[in-house]
Amino acid sequence: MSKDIRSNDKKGMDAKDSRFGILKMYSLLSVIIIVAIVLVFNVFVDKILGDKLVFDFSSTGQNSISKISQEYIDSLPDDTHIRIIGLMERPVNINDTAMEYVVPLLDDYQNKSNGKITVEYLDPAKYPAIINQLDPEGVYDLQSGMFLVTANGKIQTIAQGDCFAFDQNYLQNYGAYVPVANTVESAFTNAIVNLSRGYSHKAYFVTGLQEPSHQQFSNVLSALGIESADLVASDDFTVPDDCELLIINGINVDISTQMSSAIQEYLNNGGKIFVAVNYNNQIPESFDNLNEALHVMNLNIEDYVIQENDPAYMLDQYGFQSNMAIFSDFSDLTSTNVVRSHYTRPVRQFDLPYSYIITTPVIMTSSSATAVKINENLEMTQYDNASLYTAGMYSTFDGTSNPPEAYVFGTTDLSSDEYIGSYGTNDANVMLLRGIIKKLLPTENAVVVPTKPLSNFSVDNQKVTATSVNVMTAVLMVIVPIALIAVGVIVFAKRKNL
Amino acid sequence: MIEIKDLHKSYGDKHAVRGISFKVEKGEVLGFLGPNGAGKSTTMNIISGYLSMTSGSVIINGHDILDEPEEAKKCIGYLPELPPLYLDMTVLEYLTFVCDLKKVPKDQRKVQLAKILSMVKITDVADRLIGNLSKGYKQRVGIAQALVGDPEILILDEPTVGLDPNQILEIRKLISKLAKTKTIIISSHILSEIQAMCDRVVIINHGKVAAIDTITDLSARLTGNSKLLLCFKGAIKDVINSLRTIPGVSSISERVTNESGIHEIEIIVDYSAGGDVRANIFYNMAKNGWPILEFRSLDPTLEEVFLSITSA
Amino acid sequence: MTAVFKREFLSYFRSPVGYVALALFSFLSGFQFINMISKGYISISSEIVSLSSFFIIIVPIITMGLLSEDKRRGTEILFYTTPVNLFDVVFGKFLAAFALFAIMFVNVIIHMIITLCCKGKVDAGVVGATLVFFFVAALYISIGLFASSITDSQIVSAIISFVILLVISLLTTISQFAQSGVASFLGATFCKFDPAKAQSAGEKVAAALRWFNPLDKTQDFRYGIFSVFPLVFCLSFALVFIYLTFRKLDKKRWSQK
Repeated sequence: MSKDIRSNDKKGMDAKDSRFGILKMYSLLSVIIIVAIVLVFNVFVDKILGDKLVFDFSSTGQNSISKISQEYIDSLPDDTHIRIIGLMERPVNINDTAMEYVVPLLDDYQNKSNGKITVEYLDPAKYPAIINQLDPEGVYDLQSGMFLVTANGKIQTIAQGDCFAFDQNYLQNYGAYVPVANTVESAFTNAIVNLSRGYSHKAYFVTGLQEPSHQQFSNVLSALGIESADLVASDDFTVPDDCELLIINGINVDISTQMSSAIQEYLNNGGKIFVAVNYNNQIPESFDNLNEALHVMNLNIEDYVIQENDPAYMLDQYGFQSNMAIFSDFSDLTSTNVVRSHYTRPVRQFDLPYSYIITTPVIMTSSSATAVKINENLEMTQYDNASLYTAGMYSTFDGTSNPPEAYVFGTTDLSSDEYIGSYGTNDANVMLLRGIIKKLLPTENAVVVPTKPLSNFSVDNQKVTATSVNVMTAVLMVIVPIALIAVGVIVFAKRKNL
Repeated sequence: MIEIKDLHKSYGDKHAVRGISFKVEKGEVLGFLGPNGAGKSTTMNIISGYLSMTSGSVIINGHDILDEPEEAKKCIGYLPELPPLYLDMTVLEYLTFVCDLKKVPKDQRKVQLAKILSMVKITDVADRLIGNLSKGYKQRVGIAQALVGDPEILILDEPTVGLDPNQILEIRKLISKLAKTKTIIISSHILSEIQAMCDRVVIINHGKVAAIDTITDLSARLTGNSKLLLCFKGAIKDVINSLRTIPGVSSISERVTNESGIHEIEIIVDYSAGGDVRANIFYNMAKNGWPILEFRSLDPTLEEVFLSITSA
Repeated sequence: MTAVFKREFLSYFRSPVGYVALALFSFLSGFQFINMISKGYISISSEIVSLSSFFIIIVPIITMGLLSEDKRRGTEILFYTTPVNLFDVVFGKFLAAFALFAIMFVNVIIHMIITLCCKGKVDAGVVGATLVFFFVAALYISIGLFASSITDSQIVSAIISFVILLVISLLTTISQFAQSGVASFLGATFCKFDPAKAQSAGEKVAAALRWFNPLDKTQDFRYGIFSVFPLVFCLSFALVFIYLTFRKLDKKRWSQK
C-alpha cells in the first residue's frame, strides 16, 4: 500500500509542469541578460562617450583645461608621451583643500589629451624606488607631495606654491598663505609646453639685494618660454653669456660698483635689461650705482616719490596710489590705457646728448603730479612743481645692429609677486609686463593660460552676525529636529489609541 | 467556474499535495475539509495564485492561474489563514489600499466600501487601528479585504478559527448571505461548520482527496454508521447484554464508570437495518427500569469520518 | 504602483520612523551648515556631499522593512493574490523610500535660500552635488530594497544592505588591497619571471574594482563638472537592483520550494 502511494507520488512528480521550467529559465536568463546588457552598456558609455559627455559648468572653470591648453596639446605629435606624476597617494576628500583645484584638472588633462598625457599618483612611501627612478642623479630634489611633469627624460617640478597666487599683504602681515587665484592650469600647461618644446630664451634675476621673491614673475616668464635663473649679487659678479634678459626686480639695496660696471659692459654689448624699483619709505635707498649703469641708456631713477594730485588718477586720498597712463606706443599691449601703481619713483631721461639713444616714456602721471621726498619722520618735502612725471621709460640705441634695450620702472607694481599674486595674471599691469617681455624676447606661440579665480563661498558679513548664527543654530539644529520628533511622537501616540 | 486538475505540490522532499482534482460550479459553496496538515492551506494558496504548484493546473473562470494570472486573480477574493493585515493602518485606510491594489474605480470605491463595512459589521471600527482590534474583528477585516473588488469567487481559509461561538455564528450567517451571489470555497477542520454552510464537501487527507460528496450524501454516509452516547444508572453488564439484543446495534463499549454507579457507554448503531434504533434503546432501558441520565448522538470526529471513508 | 507608493510613503509618517529620520537628517545638515556659516563661508555642495556619506546608515534604516516586513507579517500575500503587477509593487516601494529622501532634501533647499539671502554662492557645483545626491540615493535605495527582499527579518536586511554599502564606499581601499594581493600572488605563482606582468595584472584588477565605485565617478559633480556616464551608471544599476528585487518576488510563481 505504502509502496503504491510512493509510486503514485512519483508519477505526479514526473509529470512536473514544464511551464515552471520555462518560467525559471526566463527569469534567470532575463536577470543574466539584463545584468550583462547593463554592464556592456556602461562600459560602452564609459569608453566611447565617457570623455565627451562631460560639461564643466563650474563658475571658475577650475576643473577643466582651457581652450589654450587644449589647442597646444592637440598640436603635439601623436607619439608624445608626457607623464604627470603626483608624488603622493591619489588625494581623496579633496573638498576644501588646495587639491580640489588640482586633482580634477589633472584628470581632465588625461581625459582630453588623447593618450598623450598620463596622470599617475605614486607615493614614495609606497614605491620608494620611484624618486631614484625618475631622477637618478638627484638634480631635481624630488620630494613627497610634489607634482612633476616629465617627458623625454626631462623633469619639471611643480610645488603647491606654483599653483596659486597668494595674498602677499596677508602673507607679510600675518605670515599665512591665503590663496587668491588659481594658476594650476597655467603651471602645468607651461611645464608641458616647456618640456615638449624647450625654452627659447633665458633670463636672469639679480638677487641678494633684499628684494622680495620673484616666483610669479618667473611663472610669467615661463609661460612665455623663458627659463629664468638667479644671479646672486657678489664681488665677482658677471653677467653670464647665455643671459638674454637681465632682471633687477624690486631690490631694496643698491648694486655694487663692480656690478654696475659689469652691467654697463653687458648693455654696451647689446644686452637687454628690465629694472623695477619702488619708493620704500622704510628703506629710502638711492640707487647711485644702478643709475650709473642705467646712464648707458640715458635713464635715471629719482629718489623721490610721485604724489598724484589729479583726482581722476588718484587711488587713495594722498595720491601715493594712483593710476598711470600708458604711453601710446605701448597702449596696445594691454587691455586698458592705465595701470595701477603705488609709491612710485620718477624715472626720467638723463643728461646724455647723444641722439642715437632713443628714450620713450612707458607710463606716466597726469600733468598735475608732484614729486615728494619723505623723511624718516614721515614729513614730506615737496621737491618740484606740478608737472607730468614718467614712472617707466624705455631706451634703446638707434642704428646699431645689436642694440641694447632697457625698460626701467619706478614702480614694482608690474612685476612684484605681491602685485601679480594679488591681482592674477589677467590684470592690466601684468599684461603690460608680459607685452614688454614679449617685445624684448619674442617667442612664437607663447602659451599663456589665464589665471582662474578661486571659488569663493564667503558670505556677506553684514548679514551673518553672531546673533543670526545663534538664531539659525537654534532653529536649524534644535527647534526643527525637536519639532519633527514631537510631531512624530504626537502622531504615534494618537494613532496608537485609535 | 473553478477547475483543479491533478494538483501536486512538494516542498523539497515533502509532498504536501499529491494529486487533487475537483471542480466548483458557479454559485456553489464548497467545503474543504481535512485535518490540520492535510494540505488545505497549500491547496488554497495555489488556487489563489500565492504559491506555485509542482504540477497540475488551476483554471479559474477559464483563465489558467499560471498563464493569465492577472485575469484569474481578478475573479478571486482570498482570505488566507493569517489575514494579510497592516497593523499600522486603520481599517478604512487598509481597505482603501486594497481597493487600489484591486483597481477598484475611484467613483465606486466609497459605495463599495460602505457596503462591505456594513455587511461585515465593522462600520463602527472603520477608523480604528487594525493592530488594536480583537481577533474577531481582525478576521472580519480580513473577510472585508477579500470582498473588496466584488470578486465572483471567494476563497476563505479557516474563516472561523479562533473566534468565539457568537462570532462564528455571525460569520456563518455572513457566508450564507454571500453564498447567494458568489462561488465560495471554505476550508475547515470542523465538520459541523462545513455541514452548516456548504453544498458540497471535498475531504482531503495526506494531500489527497478522500471524498467528494454533497452534504446530504455525506450525512447519509455518516449517519449510516453512527455513535450514540448513553449515560445511565444500573448494572453495566446487564444493560450491555440487554441492548445487544436490539437489532441495529453493532457494538457497545464502556466509556466511563464512576463510584456512584453511573455508567457511560458508547453504542455503535447501523441505521441501514431500518427503523429507529434510538427509540428501541429508550424503550428497552425504560422497560428494565434503568434511568437514562443522558442520551445523545455522538458527532463523528473527523478522524472517524476519514476512517469510515477510507476504509469503505 | 501609486497604491503601494502611497501606502509605503505614508507608513513612514504613520510611525515615528519617518519623523526620526527627518529629524536626524535636519540635525546633521543643520550642523554642517552652521559649522560653515559660523566660519563665514557656505559651500552648499560640500554640505550635500558630506550628507551623502550618511547614506550608509540612513539607507538601510529606511529600506530595511520595505519587503521583509511584508514577508514576516504575511501581507505579501496581497501582492500575489490581487491583480497588481509585482514590478509595480517593487517600484512603488522604491519610490516611497526615494520620496522620503526628497523630503529630507528640503532641509538643504532651506539652507540654499539662507545662503542666497546672505549673498553666498549657490553655483553649478550645488546642482551637481544635488544630482549626485539623488542618483546615488537611488542606487543605494535599490540595493537596500534588494537586501530587504531576500530575508524576512528587518535586522538581517539592514545588516546586509549596510555591508554592501560599506563595501561600495570602501571600494577604493579594497581595490588597493586587491592590487597588491593579486600582484604578489601572481608574482609568486604564474608570473614568477615577469614581475611587471604581475604588477600590471594587479593594477587591472584594482582598476576594474574601482570602476564599480559610484562615489569615485561622481566626485567631480560638486565642482560643477557634469558628466553623463556616472549618472547613467547609477541609474542603470539602480534599475538592475530593482529588477533583481522584482525577480526575487516573482520567483514565488515558479519556485518549487
